[in-house]
Amino acid sequence: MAKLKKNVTVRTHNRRVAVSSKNPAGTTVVDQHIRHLSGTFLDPEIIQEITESYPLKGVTIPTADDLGCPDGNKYDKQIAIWADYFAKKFKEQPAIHSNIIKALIGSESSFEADPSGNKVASGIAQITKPTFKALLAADGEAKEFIFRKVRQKDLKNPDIAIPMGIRWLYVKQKLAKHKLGRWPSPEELILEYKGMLKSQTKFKDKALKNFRKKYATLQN
Amino acid sequence: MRLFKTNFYIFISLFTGTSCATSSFQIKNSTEHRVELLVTPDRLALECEAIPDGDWPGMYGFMIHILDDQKTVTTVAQTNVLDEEGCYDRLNRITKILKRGHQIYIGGMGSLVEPRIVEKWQHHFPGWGTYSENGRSLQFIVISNEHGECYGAYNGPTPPCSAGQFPINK
Repeated sequence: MAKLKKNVTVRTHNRRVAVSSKNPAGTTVVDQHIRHLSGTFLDPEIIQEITESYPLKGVTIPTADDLGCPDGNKYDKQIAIWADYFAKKFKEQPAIHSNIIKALIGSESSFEADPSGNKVASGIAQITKPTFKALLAADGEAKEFIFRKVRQKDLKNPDIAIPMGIRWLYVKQKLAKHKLGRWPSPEELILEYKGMLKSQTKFKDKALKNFRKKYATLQN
Repeated sequence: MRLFKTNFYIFISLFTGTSCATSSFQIKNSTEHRVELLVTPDRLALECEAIPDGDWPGMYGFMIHILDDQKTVTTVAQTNVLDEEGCYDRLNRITKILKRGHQIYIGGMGSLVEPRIVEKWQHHFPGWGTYSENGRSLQFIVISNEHGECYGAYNGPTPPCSAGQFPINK
């Protein structure tokens, strides 16, 4: 069966616009660009619609353990919905269990929606600026499925940050496979997300142990 | 400060030489997921560890190494990656908290029930000596002194410095 096209190239063309001093002829030239087809991108409006209407039957909800954090169970529904959504979207990749995502978020932000004191990363999933750009870029690492109309400050909203973080996990899963020659384990995936898959530092050891404990707690 | 391009430690040695008489390490409270410690500053070493083999340049990890009552080292780490500026900013702020305090409260996520093992990493505590990590670690949430000065891993320096799971007592 032919593969469905996820985006199309729109060739350079003229567009009618209101006559103005800048455009006295009433036309402007639109440069060649990529248009993502419906179902290959998310924007805040679509995210909200999906969050509110996603059927929860058959969806794996993360284990209801707050891991000691005041908001530890607050985002279980969003985690479950987007874990399921992207697992179905990227069927060719191993599904990332909602408990892996919950443990990751616990280790990144302790479930604080807007953690302070880190200029290089924002929000509950601690998405960095380069990652944010990549998630929006039509020609970047995440080009198969991108986000649109999302601003950097929207990362402080877990409703936006959680799907972006999970999408990035699927990008990282592929990158880790390329590095390892096989699909990564949950621990390797989390290290790749944190940018430390190949690191030999003490800090990597501590971050890994922390994730391992949280994940084991949720899985038991 | 920025002359140090690799790992950098700050040792708090207010009790150097007389540390045995005044030093203490106490697990104040412990639940399934949380540990509260009360320690004297001489048992603490702060570290910003550079991660040169990370995916992007300028990655740093922040850690507090604690000499326990068995002369082994437990590490409390902020488990999200920081940049150099962010890491040293918290290291400097916490250093001030330690210098002004005699009883330091540390709140961390995790548990300290695993059997101690001897890890390859060692840390030096002036007045005490050099000791190995014990394989135990916590996720850093908050630190404060008896004056109520505090710093939270995800909430910064504004009291109560944590989301409420660790009450800071003045």
